[in-house]
Amino acid sequence: MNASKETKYFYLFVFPWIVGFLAFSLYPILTSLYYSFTDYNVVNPAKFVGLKNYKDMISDELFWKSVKATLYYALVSVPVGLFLSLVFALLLNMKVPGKRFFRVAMYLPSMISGAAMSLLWVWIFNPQIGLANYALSLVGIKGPLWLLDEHWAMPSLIIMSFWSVGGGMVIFLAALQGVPASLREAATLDGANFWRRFWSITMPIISPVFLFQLIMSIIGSFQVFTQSFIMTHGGPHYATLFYVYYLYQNAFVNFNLGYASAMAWLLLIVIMLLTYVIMRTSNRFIYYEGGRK
Amino acid sequence: MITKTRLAMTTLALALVLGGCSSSPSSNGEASGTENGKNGVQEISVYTTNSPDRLWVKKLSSEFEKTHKNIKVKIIEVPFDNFDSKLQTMLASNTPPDITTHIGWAGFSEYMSKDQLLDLSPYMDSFNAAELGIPEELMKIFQVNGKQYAIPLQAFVSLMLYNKDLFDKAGIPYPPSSYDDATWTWDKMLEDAKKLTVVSNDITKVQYGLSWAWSGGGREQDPQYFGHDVFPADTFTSNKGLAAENFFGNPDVTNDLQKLADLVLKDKVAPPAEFSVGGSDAFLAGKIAMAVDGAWRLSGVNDAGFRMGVAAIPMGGNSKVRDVLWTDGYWIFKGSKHPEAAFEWIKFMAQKENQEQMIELSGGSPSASQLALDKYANFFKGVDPTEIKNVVNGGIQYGAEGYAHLMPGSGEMHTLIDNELNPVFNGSKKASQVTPELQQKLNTMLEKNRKRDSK
Repeated sequence: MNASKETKYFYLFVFPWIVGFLAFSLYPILTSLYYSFTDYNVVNPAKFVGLKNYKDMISDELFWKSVKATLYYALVSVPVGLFLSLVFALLLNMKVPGKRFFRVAMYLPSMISGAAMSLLWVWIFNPQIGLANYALSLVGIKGPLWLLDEHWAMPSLIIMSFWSVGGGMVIFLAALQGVPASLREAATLDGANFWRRFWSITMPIISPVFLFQLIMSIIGSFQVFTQSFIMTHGGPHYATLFYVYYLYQNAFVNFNLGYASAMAWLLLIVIMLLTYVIMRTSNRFIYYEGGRK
Repeated sequence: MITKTRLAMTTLALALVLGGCSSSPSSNGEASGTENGKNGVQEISVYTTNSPDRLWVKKLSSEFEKTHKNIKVKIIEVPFDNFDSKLQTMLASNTPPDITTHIGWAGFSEYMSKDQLLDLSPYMDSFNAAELGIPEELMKIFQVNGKQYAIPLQAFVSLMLYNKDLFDKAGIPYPPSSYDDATWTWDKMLEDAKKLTVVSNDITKVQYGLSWAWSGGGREQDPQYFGHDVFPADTFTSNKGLAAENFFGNPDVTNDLQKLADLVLKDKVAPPAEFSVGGSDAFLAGKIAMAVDGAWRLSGVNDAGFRMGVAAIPMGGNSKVRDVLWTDGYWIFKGSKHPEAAFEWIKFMAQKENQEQMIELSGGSPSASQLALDKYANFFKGVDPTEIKNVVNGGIQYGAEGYAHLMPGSGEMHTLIDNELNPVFNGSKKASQVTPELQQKLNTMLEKNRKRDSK
């Protein structure tokens, strides 16, 4: 087949996808950009209001509460989650008996859907008959009210998020397997201890994967919704009013589609900026085997 | 060879494209009443949820089709959680269903204020509510400026369920079902509740006297029980449910809220929030002696492992209002292509025999018609039918319609009120510390919604 024919077939085969993308992704995305400049309650026609929705966010108390809740969640759950998945990957990368069992056991929870996991944890956090407080009572601690306590609701959801560190662990594990044994052996012969080998060989080699995980975790933590929707409804006293949950409420409970669209676009811009900053600054910390591009 | 390959590839690609583009017309229920189709058959659509208590819509619609050969009914069923959002999408794309009622957060007033409902007055000549046993009070709920916008088919009163076994054990006489019994007051109920409460460190022995969900858990309506309104009276008469202001900061209203919080915090007769985390029903589990709630709670009684009674809600200081009514009015959207056919459907469902079937098929949802009251009263095993009749009649006489049905933006309002009052009900703050700020925040929200909806 010559090149022009190949091109033709290329377009022929991607055509269905392109149609789908244009009609069901790009068009709605652009429409939401338009709606973000309008006052739109779904039922009556949208009215153009310029930047009003964006300006309204500045004085919207709940908007700032949702930003605060989301940042709180991201700042704690992302670093601790990454740390835990790396630690578990390191442990399960060792030659220990029952390694396979532990790998499966660690990974299993991340295969459960967010909704099912939320329902399960509602019971674990039940202050009176839940597992969490039962475990604490065994060591003589009277557990908190968890999801019902304004100050404990967010830590509860963060603790719950660690249950699915297995997903990150598997990716780290794959990266760890890619660290050449020859380098580690050479270092060992030169007298490097475990920490030295970890910091000077393992970490640099898995650092691109670390960067990937960091960015994905940040994006994921900015989009938390299910837990709030199912477990706490944003409460108590706005403690778990996540950004995306508040966005959803504006769209489908408060009928402010325009405002919700503006919130969605702001989130997109913030995530893009953040990713850009991380990518730019990461050059200094990330080691690419094939040299920097 | 090349030609063959090309042919095969092109066919495959075409198949993919066509397969991807076509959609089965039966899979989405968007198209509302189609134009007069074959043989002049008109198709109307009824929008409802797929929960078992709404099964009657489907079953009775096929009965309707048998007697109305020229009308075909399409049932659009959605999960409860998607009820509002799907309906809004249908309205946005100008393909509303013909008939629906309030099931989600957005009630009658939400669509009324957005000018989406058809004025049914022209059809009312053929509809005699009195003859069908639908009380005037219920019809009035859906009248705006003298015009009828919906027909009530189901009406849930609020009531008190009580556990006869626990009363017997404590040696306390049962509460009365009659709303005329003047001795049945809030104080008397509290006194009984204290006697029926068992405090224990052993969770299996804990028992509470009372659970209070008078207005289905919405705090904005609770003060009405004690005779104090949170919203100005004209909100519901001439302002389409758009309140000009709120009185949460009023000392009486504040006291009422504290009184309710104290059921848990001070009197300790009601279960704290953690007692029912995870949706467990502590009353049906036999852990609560009296439960004030909507009549939908009755549908669980046949499964209860104890003898149950129903009682009137005691007098709380409001001589006119003692309970909250949740009346399901069925309306027709303005976009309906076959309003006459749609009205025929509503009329059919309002007939006595169909209302009785609805009670049966829904597992005990109450009819709005008094003619079906006997059937309803006798539906619940082990509960005295006379008690049920008393509670329904008294409930309608002393009932005020639920605010969620009457106020646009009730979902947003509920979120605000629930969150702001949370510290009061968990005891970290007094109501008086919270209500002035709540009043101010709610006023800001009301003003915003008024501006939006009055356009």
